[in-house]
Amino acid sequence: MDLTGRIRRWALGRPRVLVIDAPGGERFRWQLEDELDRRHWPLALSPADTDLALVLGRPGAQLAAAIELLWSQVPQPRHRQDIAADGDLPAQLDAASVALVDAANRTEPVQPGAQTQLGNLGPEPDDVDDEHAGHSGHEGHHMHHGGDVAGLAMADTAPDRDGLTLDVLRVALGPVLPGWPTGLVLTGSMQGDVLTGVELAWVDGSDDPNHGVLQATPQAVAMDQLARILLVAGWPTAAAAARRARRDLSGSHPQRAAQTQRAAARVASRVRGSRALRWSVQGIGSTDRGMTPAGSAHAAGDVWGGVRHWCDVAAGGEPVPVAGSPRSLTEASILLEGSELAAARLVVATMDLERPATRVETESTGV
Amino acid sequence: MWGLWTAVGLVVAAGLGLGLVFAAADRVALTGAGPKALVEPVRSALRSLLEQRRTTLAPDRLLWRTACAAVPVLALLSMAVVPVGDRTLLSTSADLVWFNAMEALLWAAVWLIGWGPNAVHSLVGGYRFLAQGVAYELPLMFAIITAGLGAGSLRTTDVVAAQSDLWFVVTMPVAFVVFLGSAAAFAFWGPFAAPAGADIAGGVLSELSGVERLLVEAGRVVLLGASAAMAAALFLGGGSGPWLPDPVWQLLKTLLVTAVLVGVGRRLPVLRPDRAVELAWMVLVPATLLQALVVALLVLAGAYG
Amino acid sequence: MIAVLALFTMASALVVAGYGASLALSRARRPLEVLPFESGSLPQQHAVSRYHARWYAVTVLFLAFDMEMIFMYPWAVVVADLGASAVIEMFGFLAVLFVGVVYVWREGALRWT
Repeated sequence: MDLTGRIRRWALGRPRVLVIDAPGGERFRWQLEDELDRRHWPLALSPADTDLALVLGRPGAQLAAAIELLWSQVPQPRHRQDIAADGDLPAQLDAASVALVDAANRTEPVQPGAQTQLGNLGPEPDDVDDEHAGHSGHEGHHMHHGGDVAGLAMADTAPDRDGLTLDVLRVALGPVLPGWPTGLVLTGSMQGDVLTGVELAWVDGSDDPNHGVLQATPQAVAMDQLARILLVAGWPTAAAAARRARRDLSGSHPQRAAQTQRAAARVASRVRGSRALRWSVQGIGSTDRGMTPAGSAHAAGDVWGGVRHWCDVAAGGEPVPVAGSPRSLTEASILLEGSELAAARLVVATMDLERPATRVETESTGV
Repeated sequence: MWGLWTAVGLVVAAGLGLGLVFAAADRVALTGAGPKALVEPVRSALRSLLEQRRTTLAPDRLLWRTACAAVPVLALLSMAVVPVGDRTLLSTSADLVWFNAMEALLWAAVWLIGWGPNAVHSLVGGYRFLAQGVAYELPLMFAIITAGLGAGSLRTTDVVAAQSDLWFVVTMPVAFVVFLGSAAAFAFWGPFAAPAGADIAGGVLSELSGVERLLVEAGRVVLLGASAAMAAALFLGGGSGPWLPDPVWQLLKTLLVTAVLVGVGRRLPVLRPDRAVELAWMVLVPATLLQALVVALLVLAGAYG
Repeated sequence: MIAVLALFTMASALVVAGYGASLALSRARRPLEVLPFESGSLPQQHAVSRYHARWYAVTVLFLAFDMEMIFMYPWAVVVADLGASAVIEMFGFLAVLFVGVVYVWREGALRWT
């Protein structure tokens, strides 16, 4: 092997992994994350940061389209692999790693330019709505003040909450975003970083029966939620500790049960006891911001309340529903209306949403 | 002429070395992987070098690329007034202003990295950096001025010399802490990492790959390493110490500051910029002003010789 | 000054060397052209917009204070020579400025979420 080949192999020895999971693959995602943690392979935050794209479960059409788009955004060297739940996970990761090094020694054909992709990956002509005025046959649409540049519209303008006319940007969050609930998609408008017109939806789930069953205790599920909240809250070391506790909780080591419980309680009390975290998230997502209609079903509960709740359950307490936390997407979208992006991310991470039909059995086995 | 280039090379090497040390310590704290993680920054750098660069749809290419290159260049320029051995490359009557000015130029650079790629997460990250900036910049300037006030000079070597009897950290603890915190904020690292937060998919870094990502990441850690060295010089007496030669003491103190900064910074969650602004103006600004007042009174009393 | 120019030159040379190393090591010479990342959805509009920075009031306050800081650098050097009057004048001035900060705070401009 030549020198550059060796350099490549060493440099890619700890690839950054973008985990894309289809709804229903929770437990398997945990196993994968544990294995990645064990190998010290960092999780990528965006396609730009990605070496390996690992797809878990069987994506439906919607998620498959998202994966194509994300894949087109990953720079070389890169490798994409479907990870099978019934296979040997370490062996699959080893294979992915080898394939990545192979990819680094090859040159991929040049990908079409971004503007072409916009045409190729964009919606079919009969799906074209106002937002896609740039698509062929829809030039000169009346919606956009700025017209099209490079095949894409400029931001609209609309009055903000102070009555000033300012730019609004149509945005989407999910389905693939760090710490984001699997399969959730948020669409809305942003003025600055304030979200309005929030709509939530689930992408179509996997119909693979192997993925539907989450054999985990509520305690482990809570620890997983905590790990996600901590990632979104920007506390990577605590998130890693929560993932380790989740691994022990979902493993079956009866002889180490007491030790596992102590470790879980330690993580929970570290998070609960963090004054910095409390100061940062207290009051966010509180329903008495005047944004929710009077007489709304959920009482004032903020992100900090949610964090404490998940800590309680993760430490082995009784699983009770989060006080005032929305369960349905409609309730959740009302709560997110008018919140800023960072707050919305925290609120979504804390929520315990009811999943769509394909995942009902997941919920029922969880309790 | 060769003397000049040797000195410059030494300063650049020191900056890169300090950055590497910081990155390694950070990686150990982050992964808990032990001493093996020390080579990871080198591996990451190589990985970035063999990665393809990216460009987005209709980016502001010139400003974006310039800003990426500006981050490490500014970090290295700030090293000009940091003592390497017992002297600084640039020694003027306004060294401290130079250090602060290089940091302040980062505002433009980081915001442009956010603006450049024409991507929403990146843009939000850039603006977060600015919102955070209006919070910590004033306390930082007060902290730097306090050190200059104690020494009666803005020259780094004078500030170091003025601490021959008593390290400034004893009478200026608030300024010391604020200086380190602001360094972390300028590098959007640790509790001030909101501009590159996981909640916005890496924010200003979210569209960067290849050598551009390496430049920005390297600039961040060099700035943190330079700040640790500067903190040792301004508040911990620079190279003064018994038995060992001065440069060794300087290095040991810098390593200690680095270790403390990494240890504390990685123990905390991100402090949300919108809340930090209020805290900074209502708590840190008065606190650093009081600190400056105390030092001014001590100067009048002749406490600093 | 020459030293700073030399430092700038060497830092810039390092950046150029980085690009050179990238060209030598990476297989793909041309940058990848991508659509901006929007968590798996197609972008609908250009993100570069007139971003509503709701903390703009703080920037004005910041500017007022920042200008003041310019005076404080030279002041720090001459305190020992000028004596008590320098300290009284500077902190009197700062106190007046800080009254302004308290007013801004009471108006709620330091909090925007």
